[in-house]
Amino acid sequence: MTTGLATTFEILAASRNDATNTVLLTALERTDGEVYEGTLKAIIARRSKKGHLAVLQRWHRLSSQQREYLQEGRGRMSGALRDAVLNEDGQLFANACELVEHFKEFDLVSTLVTLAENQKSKHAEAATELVLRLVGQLSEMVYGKRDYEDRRDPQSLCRFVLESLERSVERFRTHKRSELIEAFVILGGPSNNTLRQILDDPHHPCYLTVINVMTNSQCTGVLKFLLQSLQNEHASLNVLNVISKRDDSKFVNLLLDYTSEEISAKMAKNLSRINSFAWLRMGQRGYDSFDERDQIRCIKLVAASGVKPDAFLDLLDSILHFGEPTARWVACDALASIPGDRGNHLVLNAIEDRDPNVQAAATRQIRDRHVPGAMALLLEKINSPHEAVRQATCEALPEFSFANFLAGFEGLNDDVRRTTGSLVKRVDPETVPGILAEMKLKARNRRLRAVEMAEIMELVPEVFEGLLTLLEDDDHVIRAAAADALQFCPTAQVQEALRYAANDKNCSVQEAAKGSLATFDKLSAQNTFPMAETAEGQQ
Amino acid sequence: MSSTILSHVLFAQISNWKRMGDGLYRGRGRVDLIDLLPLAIVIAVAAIAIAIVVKVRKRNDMTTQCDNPAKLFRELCLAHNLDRASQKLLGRLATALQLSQPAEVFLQPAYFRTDQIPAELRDEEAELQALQERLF
Repeated sequence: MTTGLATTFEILAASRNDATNTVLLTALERTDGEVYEGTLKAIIARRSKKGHLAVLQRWHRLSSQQREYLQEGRGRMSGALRDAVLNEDGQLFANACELVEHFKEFDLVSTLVTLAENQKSKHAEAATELVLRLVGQLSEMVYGKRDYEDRRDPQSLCRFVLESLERSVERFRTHKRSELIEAFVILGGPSNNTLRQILDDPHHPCYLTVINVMTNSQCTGVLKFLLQSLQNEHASLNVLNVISKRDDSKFVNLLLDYTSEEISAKMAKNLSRINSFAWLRMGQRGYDSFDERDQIRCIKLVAASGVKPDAFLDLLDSILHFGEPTARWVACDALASIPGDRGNHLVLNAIEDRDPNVQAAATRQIRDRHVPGAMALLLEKINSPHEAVRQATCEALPEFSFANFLAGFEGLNDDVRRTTGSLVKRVDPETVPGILAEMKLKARNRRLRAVEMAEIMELVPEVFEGLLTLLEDDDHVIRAAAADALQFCPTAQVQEALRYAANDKNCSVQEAAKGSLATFDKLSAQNTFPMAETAEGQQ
Repeated sequence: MSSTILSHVLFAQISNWKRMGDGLYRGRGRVDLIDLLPLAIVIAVAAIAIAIVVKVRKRNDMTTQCDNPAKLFRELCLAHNLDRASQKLLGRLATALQLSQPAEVFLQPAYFRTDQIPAELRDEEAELQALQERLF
């Protein structure tokens, strides 16, 4: 723009002379190019409702760049927008609606609500739709991420808009515009008294509309309302029913997200009042369409809810059959809280699952469920190739600990000692350290018992260092017992120690050492003596 | 009469101070109106001067709210620093084109086109072209 024109428009934009408006409006009609652009900017910059209305009238013909000029004058155009919205001219109304939505002019909601309620107005329908769109935008501002470039406070705007919508709710019998009720529900939160009154009174004229909106709306405000209701001390049963009936993926995802964290006492209480979920079925929009993460979260949610055990077992059964490995694992864990034959049956199936974690989860609970043949299964599982399963088996056999075995050792006969000892050494990883510790005790009979236990449990190779120490014990009975036990550990180091023991001052020790060396010789003759290999290994 | 006036003006004369009110009682309390005429003339001149100053100031005060096409025209002329001849020429152009708002000439380059210039301003076409260059 030239300097001359720029000076002219600078004066026209700021002049306090009202004749300027007439000059600019004439120019708007008769000019084009630079002068038109400048005129447009000057009109927008001025506080002239007439000028703004003239611009609004042309909104649909403006280029995108020209429309940007209006963005700068949005605060000054409210009056013109209000007049345009109430104008009978269809084009002006349509332009104003577009601009109101574009500018997020929430101040005009009350005007639009009045227009929407006017059944004689030809713009009532469009005004209603605009109210819904504006309320949707406001809901996103209130519940979504805050845009700090927009300095308006979403909460204040929300209160203002809610006031006019609440008045509209009171006039529902007259206007029957369910969309206005929907708008009200979108913005009203769990703390809104009017909304709570409606939900508690099935005879309220808006009750069905409100329930319908809550059941079908995809608006963030409604979804948040439903979820926040779960945290309410006195959540309405009608709201909980809505939660149980919704099976749309957006809501179900939010619900699963909301309940995947720690479940508070209030939420647990409310969840326990929900007896079913619409998505708790197979087929379209059912849980079988969930991904693995959602399957896991839905198990947690259903477990916390008041869903009957049979329905819960159906869910777990299905996930154990068709679910992903982690989901099957979680499902198997969840079975622990449901006693009974059907649960037992599912656990027995799960123990043969192809995933070791699922097997482990089933193994862990098999004894507590008193499943027939549990012991045999555990004895089988203790030899599982999977560490997780072996670990779970050990957890399932807590009584087969080394401490228990030690305490009852004296009272057991040899056969029982052998079978129990064999189990204990596999179940309790503390067995070998326990025997070694016993060998170091001062009490003679404890050291002697440790040697005997090592022999019976076939742990001599694991504790041979302890036995070698006992070969030098002050007590000849212990030395003899150690020399005897060492026959089960045919290594070069042991052979050397036994040769030394064969020259012991006590003849019973000498005999025991010689006996063990003779056993080594036999093994050597049969080429089963691993002495050389072990010696190499030790070097 | 002149001595009477001087007696009012020359305050420094002590003798006159003493006799300052003497004249007012001349003719037994009757005021001669002709004596007040000079004072009335001075007041009238001052009032006219003040009125003219106020009028001129108001005419050129662009900060007050008004609805005055001629004033807007002047405001734009002042903003463009136009001399009196140019202002007059633009005013004549607006009159010749019968514009209700003379300021429109600042927004319509078409008014300066040769075919649009009214017959009575043809002689000043060059000046108008120069103005067009300056304004647009």
